Amino acid sequence: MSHPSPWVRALTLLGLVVVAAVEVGPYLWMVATSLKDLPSVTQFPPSLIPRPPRWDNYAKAWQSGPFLRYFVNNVVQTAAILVLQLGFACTAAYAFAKLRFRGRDLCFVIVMACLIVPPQVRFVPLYILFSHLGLVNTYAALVLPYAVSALGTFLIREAFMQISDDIVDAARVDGAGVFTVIFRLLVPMARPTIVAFSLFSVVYHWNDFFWPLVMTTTDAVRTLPVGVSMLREEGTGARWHIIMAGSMFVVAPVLAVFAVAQRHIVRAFTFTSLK
Amino acid sequence: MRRMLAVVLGLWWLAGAGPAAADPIVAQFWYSFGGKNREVTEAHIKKFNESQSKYRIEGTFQGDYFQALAKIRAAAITKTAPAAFHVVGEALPNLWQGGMLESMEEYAKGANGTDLADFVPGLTQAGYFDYLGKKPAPLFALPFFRSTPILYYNADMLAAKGVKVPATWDELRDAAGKLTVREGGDTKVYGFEVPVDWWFWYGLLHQAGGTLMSADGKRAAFKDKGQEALQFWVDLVNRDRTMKQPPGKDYSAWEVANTDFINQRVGMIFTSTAFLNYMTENAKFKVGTAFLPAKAKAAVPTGGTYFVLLKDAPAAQKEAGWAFIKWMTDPEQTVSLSKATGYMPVRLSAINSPAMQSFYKDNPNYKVALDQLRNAQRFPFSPALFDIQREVIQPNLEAAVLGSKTSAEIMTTADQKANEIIGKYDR
Amino acid sequence: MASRRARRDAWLGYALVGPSLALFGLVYLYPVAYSAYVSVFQWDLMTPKRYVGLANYRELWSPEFGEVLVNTACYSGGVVLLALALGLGLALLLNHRGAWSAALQACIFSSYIVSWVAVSLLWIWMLDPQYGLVTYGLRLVGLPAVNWLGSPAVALWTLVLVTVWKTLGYPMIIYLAGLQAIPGDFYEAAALDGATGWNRFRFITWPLLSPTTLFLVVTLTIASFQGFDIVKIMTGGGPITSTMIYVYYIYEQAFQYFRLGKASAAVVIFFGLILLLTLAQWLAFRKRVQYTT
Repeated sequence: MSHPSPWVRALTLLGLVVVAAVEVGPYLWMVATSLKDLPSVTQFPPSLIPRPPRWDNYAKAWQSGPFLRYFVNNVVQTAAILVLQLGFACTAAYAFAKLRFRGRDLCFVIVMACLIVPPQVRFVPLYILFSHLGLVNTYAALVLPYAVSALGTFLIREAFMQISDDIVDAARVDGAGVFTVIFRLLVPMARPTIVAFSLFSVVYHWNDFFWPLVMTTTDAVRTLPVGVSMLREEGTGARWHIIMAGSMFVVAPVLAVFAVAQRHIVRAFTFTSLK
Repeated sequence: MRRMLAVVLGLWWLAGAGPAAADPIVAQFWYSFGGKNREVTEAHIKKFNESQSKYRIEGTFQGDYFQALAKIRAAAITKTAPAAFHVVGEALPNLWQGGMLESMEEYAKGANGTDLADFVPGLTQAGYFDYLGKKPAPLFALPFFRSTPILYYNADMLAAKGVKVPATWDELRDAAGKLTVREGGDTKVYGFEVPVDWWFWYGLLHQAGGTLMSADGKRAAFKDKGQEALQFWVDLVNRDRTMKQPPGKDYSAWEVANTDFINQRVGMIFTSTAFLNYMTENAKFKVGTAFLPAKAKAAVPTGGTYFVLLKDAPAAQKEAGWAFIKWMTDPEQTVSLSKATGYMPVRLSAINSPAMQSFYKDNPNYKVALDQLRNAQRFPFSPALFDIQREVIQPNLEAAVLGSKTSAEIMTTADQKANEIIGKYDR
Repeated sequence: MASRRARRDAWLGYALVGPSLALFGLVYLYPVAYSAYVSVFQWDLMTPKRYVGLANYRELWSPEFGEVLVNTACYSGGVVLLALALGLGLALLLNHRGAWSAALQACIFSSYIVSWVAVSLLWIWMLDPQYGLVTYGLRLVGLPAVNWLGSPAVALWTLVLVTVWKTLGYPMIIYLAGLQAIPGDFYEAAALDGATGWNRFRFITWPLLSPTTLFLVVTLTIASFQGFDIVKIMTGGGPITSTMIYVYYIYEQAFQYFRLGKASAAVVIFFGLILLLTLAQWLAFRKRVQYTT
């Protein structure tokens, strides 16, 4: 962009501000709603700043269920899924990208086929299976069905394929074991892909409502999104202010993590080139 | 000395070795509402557990009605289903015929029984269903949170415009016309709003003088009067343009109608009596309630959910489940549940108690649904009922209002599909 | 020596892929096989299954199902194209260090991490054709109100726009990273050669971003195929069937109508279609893809 006229620059800036406002506006609205009382929520024209701010909405939301347990469960579930997904995906991707064995491509196609199987399709058979195994209401029910990721396997394989075979051969000639090659050599070189995929996985599973709801029948391993859904009421009138307060509990941790990790994410991309 | 010690210890051991204080029998109660209803239910579960030590009920949320039903069925397959849950009235025949539900006859008459005669007739299973000339099914459901649709109106708005509360369809059309406020091309205030929904359509069907099925339940019978009902909406929305069709499906649309009413964007709505607490607390105007307007006759469906017991649960858990259900429908509890939520109390003795009577005197709006029960219409006790509601009627009503099909076309197709479904179950 | 290494490699390959495959088979393919089995029955999850052969498939051969396929394709296509284009545009514009750039990025990314439920409810209000904020804004500029969620012609595109709004932050972030990975020397050399902005984009930026673009196309397509929450909350597949997309259709058949046989048949058909598409694509592009080896 060499020497754009000041008009273009001003207009561009304005456009960007508008986009940012549209993106963040509803989100700010959510925050505002979480601090109102119910009559203010439904009134129109809507008021932007609640006076006085009702911080007790947050207390009410938090106390509506075992929110601390939901929070811990949510962390355990998201972290366990991510670790397992990356572990399985990196090892499988190495085999698909760098090793030759019969049936390799067929196996890969099978993995690809799993990309379009949504949780609504998997629910009934897996519920029945896990129930027979006595695993309903356990972390296994939440984590195992997502322990492998077809998307992750595909993306990391792509990244590995872009790394020259010579590097791998050299390392193996030097006597490096398989896992050293994968996790100490290839993974750092594929860091951008792995970070990008991890971001996607964490946001998806942190906010996942459907799977933790249908695979559990008690509160033991339920997560925050399920807890927040219990604030919704279809029969006698929704209390939006409490629902939004509850939703904030789900959003805040991810925001915090992202704020802290943002610099590292950016660095992950710039250290090695996404060739 | 030692011998005496031995004797004392022996006696002590004997005393403790008698029938030990048994652990409470634990049973699960699955429910599918959140928010205020959930809070009230959980509070009552806690109270039940504290009021006795023989049973302990654990209540858990299982998603919306359909997610809960799916989980119950899946859990039944693996024999891990709860002892008790609640379910919408329309699904009862289907579940009963499918063999999932336990009969409550013995429990009701037994030691920990309940006075069936004291239940409000319009709210019971017997009052809800038309058994189509066959032998009535045994008791297998007790009313939980039950409601009827009522007409809510903005009393201030009607008074300001000199509009009378409508009692017939024609008066409703009139009133809607007078209450609608237009500015240029926009409608600032609609006269009337109602979700284009099975439940309200069922009411209109009967108000027009129709029924859903033939008296023997072998054929669908709603084609003509159902069309009249649907056409009423079509005219209000598209010809008079005095009715707003709230966007969204199922409860999303209901919420829009409620919010519009509170914001004074609409003068009159039909919705469940269960929202009365919510409306009264949040409206900044005087809320009035009335019967649904009549046409050929005054008619109203009832709605809400019933308590049921699962047949495949272990006997001890079923016993615990029954004890809970019985306790929840006792007069004292039905009063506290009703006051906390706005749903109707299910016991006559509760309604006639001085506490409730004075409550109704101070809050006449709450009495409307109760009085309206004399116009309650029954539902056919047919396993096809649930399918007809969910597959045949509910998804297809809006096409008429949106103008993509005529009400005649829709009802003809619906009649056909309904007969197919009835035939499928008759096999 | 080479063949021993080759055999060891093969053995290693199976060992590394085996556990993954086993899990994939259990948690992904077993449900699909289960669906294939159930698809030849009529089953409501409660009463015994009734064998009906291919009746479910015949019932799906209908305009309604065709509409579901079209809706899904339109929804996915719209979301991927728009999110990619806008994400790239934003990344190009925000590709400067600086506090205001970071602030704008954060704003745009914030909607990505919020859950669908909160966001969908907000949008339902804002899109109300009578008093929503969007309607209000349109009226200010003199445009007529649009029935965003209540009109069959518009509803699906409304969902596309809301989805793009929500997911825009992700491609933006990924493209930003991709842009920053392009060495500055390329641009300097191009500037020396007198290349214009557009040419720089076309010959340097875009090609070097192609792995990123591929990454995003795959991720966004998969994510949009599984779109469910937004439909469930905002439109329930309506008005009429204009927003009925793949996953919601199966959910509705299975858990609202309890027609598991028909739902399972739909699963099998979709699965088969995508498999065919993937196979066709792979065969077509197999020769053209080159990797640095």
